[in-house]
Amino acid sequence: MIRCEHVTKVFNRGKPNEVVAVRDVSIEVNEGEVAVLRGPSGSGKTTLLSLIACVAKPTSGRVFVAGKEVSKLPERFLTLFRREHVGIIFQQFNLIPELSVVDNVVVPLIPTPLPANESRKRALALLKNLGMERRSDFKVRELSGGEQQRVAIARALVNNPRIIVADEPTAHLDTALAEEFLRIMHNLKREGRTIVIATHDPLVFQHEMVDVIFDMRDGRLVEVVR
Amino acid sequence: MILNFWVISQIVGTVIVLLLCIYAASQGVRILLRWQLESASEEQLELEKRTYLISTLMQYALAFQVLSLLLFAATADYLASFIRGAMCAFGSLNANSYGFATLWVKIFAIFVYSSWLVINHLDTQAEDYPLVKLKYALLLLFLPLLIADAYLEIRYYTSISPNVITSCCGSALRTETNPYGFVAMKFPTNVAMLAFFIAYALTLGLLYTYLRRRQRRLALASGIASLAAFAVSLLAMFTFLSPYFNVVLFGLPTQHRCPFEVLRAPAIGYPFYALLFLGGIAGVLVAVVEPLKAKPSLRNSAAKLQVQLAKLALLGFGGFLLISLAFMLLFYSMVGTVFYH
Ligand SMILES: Nc1ncnc2c1ncn2[C@@H]1O[C@H](COP(=O)(O)OP(=O)(O)OP(=O)(O)O)[C@@H](O)[C@H]1O
Ligand SMILES: [Mg+2]
Repeated sequence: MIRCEHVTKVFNRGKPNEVVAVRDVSIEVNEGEVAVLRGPSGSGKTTLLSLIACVAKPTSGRVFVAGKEVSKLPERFLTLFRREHVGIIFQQFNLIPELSVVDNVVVPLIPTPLPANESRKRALALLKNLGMERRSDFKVRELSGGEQQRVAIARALVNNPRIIVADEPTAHLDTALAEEFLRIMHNLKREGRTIVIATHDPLVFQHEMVDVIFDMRDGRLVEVVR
Repeated sequence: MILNFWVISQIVGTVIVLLLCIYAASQGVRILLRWQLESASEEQLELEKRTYLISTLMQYALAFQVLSLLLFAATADYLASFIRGAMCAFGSLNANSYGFATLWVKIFAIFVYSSWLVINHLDTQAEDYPLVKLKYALLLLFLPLLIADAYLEIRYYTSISPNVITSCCGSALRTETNPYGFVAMKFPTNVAMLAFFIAYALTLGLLYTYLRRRQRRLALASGIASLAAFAVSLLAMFTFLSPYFNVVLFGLPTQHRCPFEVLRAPAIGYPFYALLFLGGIAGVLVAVVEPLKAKPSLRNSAAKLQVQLAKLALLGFGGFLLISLAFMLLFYSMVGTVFYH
């Protein structure tokens, strides 16, 4: 489902502040697996995740997602591909505080041809699944951190992606909420989705659903634990 | 040299476009030499990113060049009031040997530029850069044309002298020693008229049949016919067609065969010529797009675009013909005949 071949990502190539954030990494995640990218701060987890999530392109090497060589796609097609296949849960949630919960969830569907009431229906169904149906008309800024997390998850799922990518999803959550998050991810795994999580939280990488852990140091892949 | 806002902004625009194109062409050389679609090397991925940037730049540069024909015509018309002896754009263009040369080069170039724009557009419609090499090879090929276009335009503007008395359409027509080759104006009007209607019947017929049958040879024939119809239309404007407008709009004598007067009725003149260029360019592009359909990743988008272009060509030529016929009718109601010569 996801394959990286000799992927390198360099920021500010040729400048004094050049950084090799990911160095010659090759990994593979099969369909329906949960993978964890683990490593200390600055080891390149977020960068590798952004390549898998089709947010950025590598400096060299190949990234295949759902059978497509996304590292070769022109920018426009990369965006389209991401919208269709990838759901992203950001560390900071990236929600729009002034909008209602349901409007936040609908945002990724705006560029699609789906009619507005259809989008809304889909968003409400997802919120209901996550136990948020009573909050759907609240403004996001009126929600607790855990509730915001669930809105972010609903938003990542609204386009029904086959791949879900999460960056440090439990960093701002207490243990109970983190466990709640992992329960939701586990359910998504049971639905057959492929999940990649960047984290250094033991609660996450010790969870039974995790199939593979990729250990990173200084942009390099140092160990694969299956 | 006459310095005013229009002249200066066109010269500046032309220089910018030229610099952009020279930069793009230099990058194009690199792409032609180093492009390896299969590779995942840093250089190839960088080239893929770069071609996107360059083609976006080129798109704006060439779109400006296409529009610059309109600006050029409008400026020539406007300059007539500063040039002694000039009554309309004809006189301004006739003020030195560069004027008409620039116009003809720009008219020819507009077909080349719009072909490139369409090829570039199609290239960006596919995921696998199917036309990237063609695109940059063409860019290198037409760079001399672009340089000629810019050179002539700048020479034209900088050589205009307000003290030289130019000859405008009225007198230039009568002078036997017309320096800038207005054989077109002396072309037998009846032959031009016949050619005009034959070319239009053929082109509109071919475009229409192409839209119904979508055959390769019809697409190619439509393109050739469109180019012919475009050329014959220009000839028509220098011979039998312009007097209909000049008499009806301005009450000029029937032997006044200037194709530029009509621009003095901007609401009619510019849309009228715009329709002609639309017909000519879109029609030619129908044929240009045809061979591109051979690329598997372009088949759908190219076929779709081709149909849109054929419709636009029909609209352009159809509109041009209708306006021409309308003015022939108006002329008839005033003069009592359309065969005035
Ligand atoms: N956009 C960028 N421009 C320049 N350098 C960057 C950029 N993004 C990341 N880096 C650098 O790349 C390296 C890897 O960063 P990355 O964010 O991938 O690490 P991380 O493992 O996610 O760290 P953390 O655990 O702190 O989130 C760091 O040195 C970082 O400074
Ligand atoms: Mg990070």
